[in-house]
Amino acid sequence: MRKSFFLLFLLLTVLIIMVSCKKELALPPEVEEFNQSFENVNTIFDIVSQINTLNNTTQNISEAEAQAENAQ
Amino acid sequence: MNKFLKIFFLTLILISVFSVQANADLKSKISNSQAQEKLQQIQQNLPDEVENQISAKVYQIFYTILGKAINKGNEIIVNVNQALDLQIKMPQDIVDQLRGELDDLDKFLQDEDTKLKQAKNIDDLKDIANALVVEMQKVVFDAQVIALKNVDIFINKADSALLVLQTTCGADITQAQIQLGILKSKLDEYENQLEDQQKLSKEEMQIKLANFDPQEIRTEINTLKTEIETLSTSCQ
Repeated sequence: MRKSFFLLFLLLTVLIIMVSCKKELALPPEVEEFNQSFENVNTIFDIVSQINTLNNTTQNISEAEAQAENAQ
Repeated sequence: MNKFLKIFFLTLILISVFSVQANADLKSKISNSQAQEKLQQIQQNLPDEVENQISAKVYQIFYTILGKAINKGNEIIVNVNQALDLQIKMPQDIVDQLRGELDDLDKFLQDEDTKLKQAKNIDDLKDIANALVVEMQKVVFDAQVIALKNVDIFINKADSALLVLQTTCGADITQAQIQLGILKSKLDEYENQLEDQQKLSKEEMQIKLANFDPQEIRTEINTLKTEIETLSTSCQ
């Protein structure tokens, strides 16, 4: 009985130490938000670069339009 | 006397070389102008049937290019929507704005596709081409505005993170603040460029949009991220 109580106490102590260590390691929420915002800004730029390729398409259209005008 | 003869022959050779060259130039000019005259004559005397064939060919090429442009637009819509589906942590308003742009473009492309199928002549195609260019430029422009808005959010988050790191563990944030200042001025520069674009013609807009290179601003963002990462690691 005493032995099991001691083991339970030991286990709880270890758990408390682990939780407090983890708390120390955790970043402040503002830094977490900043990190997330960094991910977002990079993703947005990747997406925007895909959308930017539409500008090449408009260039092709304008060239075709000019050629059609010349031919008319 | 000998010297005089040498100079005389040398001059003679030079004159003959230049006259041969001048003759060749003149001949090529004459043949060019003759060819142009001939071409004009041929164009004027082209039978209607041949002219119609040329117009049909031009129409066909123009039609194909417009069809391809609409397909390209649809392809981009699918790819970007798929990329947005994966972004569960991105602010909802940013996702909604991008999806809104894509939805508008999607509806527009469907309408233009219908108009393209009903087009009867080159003038109809020109109208479609013009509408496509204007709408696509609008979408590219709006996407660039959204990207810069997101950089502004990033700057605010960086500001708060630096303040917390300074107050909670006394981190020296001087260097990071300098970097933040550089990023802010870069953002101003880009925002001014976008403001200018609104006053441009279709052709000028095309060049400006193509020159929008976010690489510089991305480099500054990465540098700031490294600075803050180093500070937060030393704080832990």
